Amino acid sequence: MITLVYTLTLFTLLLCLGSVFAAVLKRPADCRRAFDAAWVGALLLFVADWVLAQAPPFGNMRHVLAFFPLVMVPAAYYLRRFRGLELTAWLAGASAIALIGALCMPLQAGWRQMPALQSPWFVPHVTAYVISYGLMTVAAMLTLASFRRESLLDAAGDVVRLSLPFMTFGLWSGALWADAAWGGYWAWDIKEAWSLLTWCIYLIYLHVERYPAFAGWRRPLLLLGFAAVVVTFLVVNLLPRIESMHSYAQ
Amino acid sequence: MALGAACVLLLAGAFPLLGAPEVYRGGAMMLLGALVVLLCLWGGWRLATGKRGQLICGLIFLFFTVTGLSMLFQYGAKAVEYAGIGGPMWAGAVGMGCVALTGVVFMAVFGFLCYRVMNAPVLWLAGVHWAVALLGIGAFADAAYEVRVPVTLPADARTELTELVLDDGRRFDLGFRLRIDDFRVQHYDDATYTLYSFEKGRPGPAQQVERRGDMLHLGSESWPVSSLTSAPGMPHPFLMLPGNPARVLVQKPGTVKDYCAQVVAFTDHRGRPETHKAELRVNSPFACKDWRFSLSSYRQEAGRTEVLLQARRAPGRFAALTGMLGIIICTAVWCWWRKEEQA
Repeated sequence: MITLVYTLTLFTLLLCLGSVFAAVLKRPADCRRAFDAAWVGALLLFVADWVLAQAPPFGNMRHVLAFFPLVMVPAAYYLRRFRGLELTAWLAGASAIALIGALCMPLQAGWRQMPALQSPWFVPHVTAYVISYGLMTVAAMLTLASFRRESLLDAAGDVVRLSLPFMTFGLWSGALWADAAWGGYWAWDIKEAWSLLTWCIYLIYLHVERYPAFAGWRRPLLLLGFAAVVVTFLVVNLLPRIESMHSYAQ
Repeated sequence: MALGAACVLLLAGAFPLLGAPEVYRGGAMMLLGALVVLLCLWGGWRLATGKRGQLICGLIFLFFTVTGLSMLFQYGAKAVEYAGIGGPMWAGAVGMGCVALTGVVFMAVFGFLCYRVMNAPVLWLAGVHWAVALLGIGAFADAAYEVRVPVTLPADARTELTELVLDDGRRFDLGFRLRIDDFRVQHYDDATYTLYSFEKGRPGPAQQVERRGDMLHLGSESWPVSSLTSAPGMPHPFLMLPGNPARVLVQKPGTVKDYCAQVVAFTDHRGRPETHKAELRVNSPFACKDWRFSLSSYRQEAGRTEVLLQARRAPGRFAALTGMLGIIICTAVWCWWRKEEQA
């Protein structure tokens, strides 16, 4: 089963890279097909992880990273169908980064959900954050690429608008969950503080985006927001010296 | 500007290794919070210029829609639970089901009205601002008047909690009596047994002992499981073994899966005595009168179980939670509205 998990991760990663490669070769249909196939791989990986963990597989960083492509493919479809944005290769690239991270993580197959995590809020809270962080990664990649092609900055803004409701849901559903589990909706835990900081940076972006006078602020804010995402998602969890009420996510 | 200042203050306290949560409870943060609340109220008011009546009605309809949704989930879950018990509980299940259906009607009627009234994205954007203000007002009320007390209560079905005492000596009369009748812990796996040896006061290597039936085996030695005893100051049952070097056999429980306490509250309703029984779990607190009790942890020592609770009375909780729900819904609708109509 463990070999199967690694094989599926590698298979999905290769499909995501294939999707990016097809886009580089200017073959959009192949790019979409490869990413759709990656979704199937990610789904199989998710099922295998669930069987191994005997619980929703959000118990560690590898589980969460492996879940990225599963939500990125529907996001690519939504952006294409409803926003007129063809960003499949960018989302495939972000998924590939997450899968490379997943391959580098140790496989902790068995996972025992502690009592606080046995809540109906658990799956929607984590899923919303995974979608949001994945899309914010894409927004940051588009922002970097916009130094060469200006129009990509608007696309980054569109991706932020798609992502922000998920981030908002993740943040405040976490507070609602904490109210039930810890007896208070806000405890100024370090993860909470960084999540709020990240949310505030993207709010500033949405406030300045409307005014042409602040056009120069858009890139720095998007990159700063992504830096805050990285700290919230990775640094706070992976630094061993940090004491956090969210330490079960390490 | 206010958001930028909030970010700076958040960053000041949220640096991973040198975190200083005191920053968040300081005067600067409170002042900034007040400023954000005022700006949000003003921003929402200004955004809804010419449509303020629509906004106020729309938010009231939205509130009732969410109330309907909440009724559906809360009473629907109870209906399923009672139906699962069966027998005389079927009547209760039908009653709960009817209330859940009322929630559906609420949702449908007020959801439709809200959809018709909040017909411009700018109204939802104004809604986000007012929801943030509502959350801020609730948070301020809690910062000023919240009472939060950790409580340790033995699960002996005798000790009753009638008042709460804060660290500074203030006392709060609960207005009811609370007792814990039973406490149960579930484990993912069975207990393990480890033999520790000590030579000249220093610990030697630990050895795992195998359990077969009612006996514990290690090589040629064996001990009955029942010979392990509990003692004050020892967290787990143990057995001191005679001889040199000194050895002690310790039973360690498996990984905790879940724990729950049977809570009984003796209260009154319009002067008549009432008894409420509930199962208190980590994610399902127990509420009675103004107080909410959350299950934090437990302590088992020498055959005695103490349950660690957190009692909380938060006057701003309802406003804060309503604000959070408002932020989630209004942000989603505004962000996902067709882009050409957003400007």
